Amino acid sequence: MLRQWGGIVDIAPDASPIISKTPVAGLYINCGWGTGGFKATPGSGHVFAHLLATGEAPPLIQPFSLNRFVSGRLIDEHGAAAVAH
Amino acid sequence: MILISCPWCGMRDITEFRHGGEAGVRRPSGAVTEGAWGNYLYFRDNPKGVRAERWFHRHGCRQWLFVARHTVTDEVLAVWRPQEAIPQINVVHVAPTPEAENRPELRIVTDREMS
Repeated sequence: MLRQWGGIVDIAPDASPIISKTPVAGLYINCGWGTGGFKATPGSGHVFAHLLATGEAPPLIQPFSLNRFVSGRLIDEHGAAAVAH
Repeated sequence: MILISCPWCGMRDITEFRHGGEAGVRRPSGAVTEGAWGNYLYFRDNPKGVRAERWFHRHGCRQWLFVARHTVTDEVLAVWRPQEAIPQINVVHVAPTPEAENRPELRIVTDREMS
């Protein structure tokens, strides 16, 4: 073995990102992209900016709210991106 | 190098163990609200200070044990076996930190409110 490396990724329980308000006023999160976030950054930045500017999530990201872990409406993407999540 | 004193094997490097999450998580019984159930399934404390955790001695005796670890300094303050009482932890020598706040109860947003 010539080289090895390791890193840490943030993965939500359903392996989908979290783009959401939080219970803390003025705190928003856009995280949980795991290993699949790089290609999504322009798009997620665009809709996240909308959320920050208006306080309302555009329809595209409403399912990715933090609230889905309470309502049970998970978005199971464990098989996505062909990587081990 | 972080060391954990396994109750069965003695002092071992942390790489022999797998982290098993927050200790003391209790499944709510009886009728529960969605908020309480979601909290139980998915939300865990993340204090800046001493945290009670489960660890699995994966590359050793393969027993589960409990560890009190300071999340900032990684100092292991106590180790105990399941069924044992939590030992008194002397934190006088550790810089005082605020207690972990209770998680704010999440407000359930209905579909009508989201649209």
